[in-house]
Amino acid sequence: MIVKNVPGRATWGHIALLAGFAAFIVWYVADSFLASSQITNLLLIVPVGGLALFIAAMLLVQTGMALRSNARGRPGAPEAPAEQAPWRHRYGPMASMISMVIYVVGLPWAGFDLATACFVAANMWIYGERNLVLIAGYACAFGAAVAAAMRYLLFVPIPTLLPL
Amino acid sequence: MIDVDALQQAFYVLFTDISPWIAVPAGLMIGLMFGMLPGLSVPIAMAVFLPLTLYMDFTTAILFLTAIFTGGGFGGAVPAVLMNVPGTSAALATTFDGYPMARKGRHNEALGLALGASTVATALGYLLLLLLIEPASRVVLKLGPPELFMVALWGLTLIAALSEGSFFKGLLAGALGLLAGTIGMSSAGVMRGTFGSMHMLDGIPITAALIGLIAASELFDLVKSDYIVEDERSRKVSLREILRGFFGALRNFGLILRGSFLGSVIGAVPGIGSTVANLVSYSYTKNRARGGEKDTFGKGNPKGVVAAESANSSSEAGSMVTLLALGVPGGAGTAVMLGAFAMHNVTGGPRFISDNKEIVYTIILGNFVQSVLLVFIGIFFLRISILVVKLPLRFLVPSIMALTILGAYALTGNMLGPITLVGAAILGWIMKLYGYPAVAMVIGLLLGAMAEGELLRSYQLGGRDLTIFFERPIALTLLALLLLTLAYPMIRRLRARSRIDRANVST
Repeated sequence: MIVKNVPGRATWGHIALLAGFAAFIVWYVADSFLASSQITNLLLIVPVGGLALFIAAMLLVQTGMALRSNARGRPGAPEAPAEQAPWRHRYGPMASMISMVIYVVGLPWAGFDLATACFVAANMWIYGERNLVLIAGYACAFGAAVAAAMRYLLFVPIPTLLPL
Repeated sequence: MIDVDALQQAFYVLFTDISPWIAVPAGLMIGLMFGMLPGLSVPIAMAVFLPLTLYMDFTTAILFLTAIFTGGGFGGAVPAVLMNVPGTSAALATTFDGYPMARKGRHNEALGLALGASTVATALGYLLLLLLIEPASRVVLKLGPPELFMVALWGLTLIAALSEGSFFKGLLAGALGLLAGTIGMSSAGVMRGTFGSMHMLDGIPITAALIGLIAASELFDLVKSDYIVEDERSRKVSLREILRGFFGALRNFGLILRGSFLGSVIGAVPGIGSTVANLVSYSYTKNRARGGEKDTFGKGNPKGVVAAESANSSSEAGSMVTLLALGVPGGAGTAVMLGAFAMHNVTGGPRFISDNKEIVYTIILGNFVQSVLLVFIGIFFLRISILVVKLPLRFLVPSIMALTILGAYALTGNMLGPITLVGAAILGWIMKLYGYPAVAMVIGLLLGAMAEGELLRSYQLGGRDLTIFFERPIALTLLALLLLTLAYPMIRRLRARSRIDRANVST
């Protein structure tokens, strides 16, 4: 659980994350205030929100200063050589995240069986499997099995493409 | 302290009827399976099988449900060690050292440690329950809103302990979690942050958020590996190693004893339970470690696994105190058990203990036997579940991801669960990238609603004045303990520095 130092080249991302945190705090405190301005509603939210906003602002300033000093300290520094890592090492996590978002959006539309099969197949490919027959076979069997288990073992009503 | 006649009756009831001993092994297996599958929780297992208890007598029904509880308590450790996915929120701290052990090829030992700590701690927790159920029920009655709020704050101070190296990032993550934990209908009846959606009335689905925040960053990053254990020679299932871990846990008996005590005490506090117990026990053990050993926590220190597992397993006994003594469920699992009470026309509470001592003792004794049975069933179960390290990640990770998302749907019954899980997964990965401890956010989320409710009740109890915290001895003691906990790392650092200075002067 030891927190690592933020790499200098990534501080723009860090600034975006902190800005996102700050936006959430401001929105949530404002929404709570608009819902009810009584002290009983804001007893915990306002002090905690204020503290969180203060820390976010402090880290934002700290990160901005680090970014500036990095830019000053390395004028005309040569570009880092392009990474030679395989495709899945560089873009795998991002591709997996995107597929997860598409999966969740598609679940109610495509049915739990088909969406699960497509998601599993896509991620098997992302994680390095290249045998298409194996991908199709495993993904279809998995999708059908979990959809059936949800409906008949856990009694969770779910939309499916197949008449399970 | 113990009613010997009632105890004798309990022995008689337990060992002259075969029906509990058919139900208990089945309950342990069900609990292990549900605990092991991320997204499916022990309360789900208990709720799914609750209707079955209608066909059982009351004692058998409760023993069946506690067997699911016990099995699930350990089952959650299996994915925590093998996949860094806590099967239940109570197994969160198990991931901290269990998973690094697995990555080093020490998965057999880690699971053996977890099994040893879980079984011994379950038995110790129930032993404490046997001895202390009557006095404990009196103490629990004295905990009012100010004390419960202080306990929640104590849980939050863990943020500082866990995010060592970046106190402010930990604090920010914890505060954000606390705010997000209050989304939904407040104790004062106000809807906040719900976008007007009725699905959000109960707030963010915490189990889905927890799995997303903690597990996802590792699952996404596993794209760079082919197997959980990279070294092929280490990818083995070894009964000898499991047993070595099991007896290794027993060699840390002092640690188990401390974890069991913490688990039983914290488990007895309604709304806190095993989720906080395992974190408290883990951080306490980490903070007490001397010299270089402290740095090995989070990197595969077996003591971390023992501390976490002993606390979460014994908290079951603690939660039974509030259920039996007060009729108040400490968490979702005991709430289902309360459902079983109602189905059998039994009312929990202080009178239940005095009127049905033999049933209470039967439940306690039955759980002793359960913990022994768990050793054998657990070893058998582990030999099968460890095969997961032999599976290529290109099959395992997509399947686990899909199961967690579908599990989140099963938990909430709507799309809020999967959406929360995916959002939390992406946020968890980004937070890890920039050095924010996701676990701090999880603690905040878990305690947010409870902390706000107790603070509000304290405010109302004090006549719209918060000085009530300084007027109650238990709350004041808890406040002092909390400040000491916060100051302890600083004091230790100062002492270490002065020791170094003295050594430099003398040389």
